[in-house]
Amino acid sequence: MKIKEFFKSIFFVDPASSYDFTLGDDSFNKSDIKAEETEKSFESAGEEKKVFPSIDVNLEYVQVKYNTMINSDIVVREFLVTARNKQYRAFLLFIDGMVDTDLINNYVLKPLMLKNQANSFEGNQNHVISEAVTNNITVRKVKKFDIVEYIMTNLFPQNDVKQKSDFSDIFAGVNSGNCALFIDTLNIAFDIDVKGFKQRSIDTPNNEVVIRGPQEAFVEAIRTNTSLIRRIVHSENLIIENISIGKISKTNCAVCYISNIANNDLVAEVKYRLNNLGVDSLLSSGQLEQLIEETNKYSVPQILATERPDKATKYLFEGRVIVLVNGNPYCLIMPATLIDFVSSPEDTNLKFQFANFLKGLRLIALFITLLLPGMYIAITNFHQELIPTELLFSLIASRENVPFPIIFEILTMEISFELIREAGLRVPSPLGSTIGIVGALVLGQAAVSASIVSPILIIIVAITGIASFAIPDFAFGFHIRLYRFLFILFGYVAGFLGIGIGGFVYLCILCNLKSFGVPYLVPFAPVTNSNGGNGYYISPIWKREKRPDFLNTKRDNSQKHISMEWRYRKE
Amino acid sequence: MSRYLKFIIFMTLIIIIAIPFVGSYSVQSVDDLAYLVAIGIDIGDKNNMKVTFEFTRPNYSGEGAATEVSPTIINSVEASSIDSAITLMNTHISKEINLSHCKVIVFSEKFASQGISEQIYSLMNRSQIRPDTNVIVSKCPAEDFIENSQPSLENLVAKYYDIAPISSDYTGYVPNATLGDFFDRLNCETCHPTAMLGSINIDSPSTSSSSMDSSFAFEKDSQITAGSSSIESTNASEMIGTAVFYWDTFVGELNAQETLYHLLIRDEIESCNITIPSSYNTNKGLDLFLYNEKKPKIDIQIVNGSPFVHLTLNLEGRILSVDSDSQYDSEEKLNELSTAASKHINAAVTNYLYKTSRELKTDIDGLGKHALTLFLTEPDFESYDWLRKYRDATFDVNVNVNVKSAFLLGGDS
Amino acid sequence: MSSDTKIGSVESIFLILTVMINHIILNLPKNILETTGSASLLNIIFITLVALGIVYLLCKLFKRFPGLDIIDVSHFLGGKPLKYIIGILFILYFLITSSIFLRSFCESIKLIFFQRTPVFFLLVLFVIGIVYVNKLGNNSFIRANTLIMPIVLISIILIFIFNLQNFTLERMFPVFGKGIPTTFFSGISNLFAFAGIAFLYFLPPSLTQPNQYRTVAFTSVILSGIWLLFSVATLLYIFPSVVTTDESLPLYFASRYIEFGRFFQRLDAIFLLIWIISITSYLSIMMSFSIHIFRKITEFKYVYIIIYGFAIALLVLSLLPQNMSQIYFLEYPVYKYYSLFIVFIVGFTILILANLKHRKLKKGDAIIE
Repeated sequence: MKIKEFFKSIFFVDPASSYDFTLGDDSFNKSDIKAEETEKSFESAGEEKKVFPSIDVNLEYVQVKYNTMINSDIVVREFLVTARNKQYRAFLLFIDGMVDTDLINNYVLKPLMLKNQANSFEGNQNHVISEAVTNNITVRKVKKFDIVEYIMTNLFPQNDVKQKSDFSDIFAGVNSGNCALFIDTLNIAFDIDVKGFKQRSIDTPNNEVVIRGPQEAFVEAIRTNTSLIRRIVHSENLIIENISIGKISKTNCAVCYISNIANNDLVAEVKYRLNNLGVDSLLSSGQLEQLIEETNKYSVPQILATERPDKATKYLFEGRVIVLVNGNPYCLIMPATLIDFVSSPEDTNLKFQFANFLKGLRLIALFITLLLPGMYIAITNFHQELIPTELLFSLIASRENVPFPIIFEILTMEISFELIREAGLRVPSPLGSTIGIVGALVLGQAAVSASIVSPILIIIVAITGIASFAIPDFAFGFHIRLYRFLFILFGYVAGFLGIGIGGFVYLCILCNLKSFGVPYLVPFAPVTNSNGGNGYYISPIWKREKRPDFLNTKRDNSQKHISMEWRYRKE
Repeated sequence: MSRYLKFIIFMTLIIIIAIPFVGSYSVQSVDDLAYLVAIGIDIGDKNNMKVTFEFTRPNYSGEGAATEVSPTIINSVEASSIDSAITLMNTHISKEINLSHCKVIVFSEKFASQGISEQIYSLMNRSQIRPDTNVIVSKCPAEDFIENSQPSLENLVAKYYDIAPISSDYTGYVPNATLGDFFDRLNCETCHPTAMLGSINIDSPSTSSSSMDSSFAFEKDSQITAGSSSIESTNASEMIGTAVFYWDTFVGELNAQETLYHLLIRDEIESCNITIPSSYNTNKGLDLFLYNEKKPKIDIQIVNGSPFVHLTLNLEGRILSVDSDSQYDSEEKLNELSTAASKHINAAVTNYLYKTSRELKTDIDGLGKHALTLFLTEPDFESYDWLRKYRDATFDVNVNVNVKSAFLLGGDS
Repeated sequence: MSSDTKIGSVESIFLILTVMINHIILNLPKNILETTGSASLLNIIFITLVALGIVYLLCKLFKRFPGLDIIDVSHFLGGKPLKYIIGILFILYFLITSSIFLRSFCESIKLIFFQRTPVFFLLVLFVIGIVYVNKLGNNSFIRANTLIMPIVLISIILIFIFNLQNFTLERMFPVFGKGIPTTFFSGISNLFAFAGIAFLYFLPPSLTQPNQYRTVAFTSVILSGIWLLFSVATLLYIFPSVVTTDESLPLYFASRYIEFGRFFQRLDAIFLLIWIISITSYLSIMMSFSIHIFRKITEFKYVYIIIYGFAIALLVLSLLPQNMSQIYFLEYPVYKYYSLFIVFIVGFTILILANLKHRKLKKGDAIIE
């Protein structure tokens, strides 16, 4: 029976039955509403909308704007304000993680809600400011009771409170960590400074080091991480949804996206996959990555992981989706293509010439890591005519006393190199450099002088090792390092023929991969529009006008056609 | 279960495929091959040919090489063909012979005059050999030539063979004739092959140069061929002049000067030095540094069935030999010089061309290709039989030399 | 080429180019030079124009059948039997030409690299690659082909450029080569070089932008013509005609003449590496087209078993020839005339007849109305 099933699995497979998600055009936003209108809806974020006198209207407006139903870190706290023994309906709006909860509790909610001397005082309705009597007529300058002023002056033991009547101003305040107080019957809202980020626990990134760029990294606490993102994005359109994964562990995960940029299908697909995971526990983003990837067959990473909030938000603005996992300082970015894995966060901060130079270097590093050992063995075994004569003779001379065949030599060296790397990672960090020195320098030198390996091979292995470090993404670098051994095998078996066929198959595998419906090698295969700085090499910052075509975002342009308006401003 | 089965099938496949390849690997690896640097072919005493193989000593370029040991190993064998010679040599030496880094093929003069097409074809038939391998015809036995070719400025003999022919570009005394070129010209309907002329120079100089009927002493410098030059050095072998073939048979040689004109006409030279008689002192020469200003213009007409060749050489250059009383800044003087040079070179080139057509009867300059335009179809051209008609060719040579100045000392001195 | 595969314009242009380019790598320029001699360049310009005319007609003929390929059209014309006949003819065409191609290339590779390895194993290596790639799905290698093709095109240009110093431009004379009739009349048979047009019969349903069909067709033919011109020019200018017709893999021969300074002396292995990749891609595409047609006419659901079956057929067919002269015979005259027959006669006849039928039906409709 099993054998029958086995044969069935080999011969009778209907490929149409396999899971295949394709990222469609966001037709709702693309075709129904004209591009101009989406443009307008963007502008309307800055449109002057005044605070309504009715609190219900305000509440509704805020809820719609912030998507409070799905946005997990937006807090709307409804309560009753006590002022002069009268009670008014009110609500507070703030973003969890960006504010100091103690401040809100003690200095906002407490004085407003709880009865105390200040708010229970019931004096004259009218407050006489001055009185003057002329010709028996008493002229009284009376100031009417003003609840706004009353609250301002009497009820807020706060150093920085502002009155705002425009929603845009209020939202800007909220997005930067203030809290907004809306009170019934008032057509203004109070912008109260209660900023309180968890500054101290945030560390510098350890594994994705850049020179010019922010030096902060995600931490384990998910709320801190969302606040890190909020602090950069500053938009009420940033949606952070909570999803808990794991039947037992109930790990909190947050799906973040910018609702008027990201493709609806993409967001829905991410949420669909996250919501349909039948696991008992989820410990890290590494696990989650494997659980929601299209395929794990080829060890190619299809989801980008980063510990840098700036990198994450860069992709958010492009229209991608970010998933944060509680308890893990790495966030997942999806979809990711090959280009993303070979671009470093440094690229954003550098002039495009420098960045492109580095990108070129990385491309070379990629090929060296993947192919150099395989090529070496293919050339020395099958295609010696390719080596220039003098090089060949020095190669032969260096191999003269080496007893092992080249394949054995190269495998030994590559494996011991991997050993050194692994050992260096696992030992306590003070010892790490010792391992490197002993392993690489002493061992290598001894092996050469004992004629166990040839010096040229040491060079090959060392170059391969160095090149593998130049690949910015850890997971992708790992994948390349692993496939290097396959190419060594191909080169050993059939020289360039093996490498050629193997290379083609590998290319096809890459072409076949999809990351959340996006082909992996986009924009090269399939060929899509890579104008506006979405090719492998980046264009100058003022020319990066388009969001990646393959993401089918709601908003195609990321900047105006002329972004440096100061230069071309028409008088 | 099915996953394991798949894995087992996959591994078995890999092993099955690997075995036949690895079988060939064991003999093809870089460790197991002996790289030929030069092949020499002589007439054998007992068999068709005597083939000489030159290998580099493997550890020579490595660390701590003993300098007293000769850097190369030279073995020779007598056999009926090159391939059987290689087979015989394979049984003798431990490693397998590989031709992929062979730099030169030396034929002895005697062997070459018997025809070498079979050898050329069988060499080109091997995928290992490079088309840019140089072909040398040596006036001495090929074995002697190879034995005496010792690198003096280089460490490796392969590098010596690599670099030596490059002098063709700036002296023009020897053509950079390669195997691929030879093979192509062997199959060509409009040209004949050439090879480099080599020899060892052990005799005292000036023995053979007396045969040259030169009127000027300075012309002796360039009217030399390999083996007759006045060079004295530890490295006895030298490559000067051209070996001329009629189809695959060695028929004659060009001396250094003729080689130079040959290369000028073929436009295969970057610059050269030509000595012309000085107008002051007829026994003195004046050295000019010349190069082709533009491609030589060749027009061919067929007059009464035989070719009539118009050849225009446009040379440009500067004066090398400057004396205290020479004034090369005046236009008059320069024009005078240009005319004198034109005249001299014109006569020399005409002589050279008549030598190839009348004496050697071969079109080594490939003039025939310019006649192709005169015919509409290939059968027409084939029936004309250019290579035979070339013997009756008439030449109209026109050399324009434009001497621009001297080098640094060009001003009034 | 499963029915759900959608191909963009660039991908399809490269798809059609693949056929020509890979035959260029093998022996196509040699075969053309053999027919027309020194007039080959003239002949190529001429046949490119002819091919453009044919493609123009093809677009016209397909206009009546938007979104249908040749199989659908023949179904419309003659019902199921004709559909089967046409389908099988095309399957045989793709299968036989690719198996001959594979064998011929493997023999050359064996001569160059693996003198001691039986050719069977070289064939098996290729077939395994093709099977694996086909199992991945069509999108994968059509996209991979798009990535590889530019490199291959550049490699051919590079051979042209690096060999400029070896060129003898006069070799293009005498102008009319083997005579005017050979150049312009019997030389039309060189049209088989544009056998890639066969793919055009199957593209209409798969294009993402069907209105680009005409652009795809014209661009691919023009590009094919240009590269054919480049490769033939390289060979014509470097080698005397006698040499060219003797060589196998003539472009490889030309690559051996490249000298790039003293250090890089023999880059031919690198070119061969690029071409191996390109040829694997070509064979996979041919295979996938035959599978596509097979599935279309039989409506068989399981792809894997077809892939295995066709792979074994490919292997067996390529093992059939006994020696090189048989291979050359199959590769040149047989391939040439089979291509001409299938691509330019059968396909066209079907399309023309179908158009007539369509017109007749329409007329009938008009009368009824």
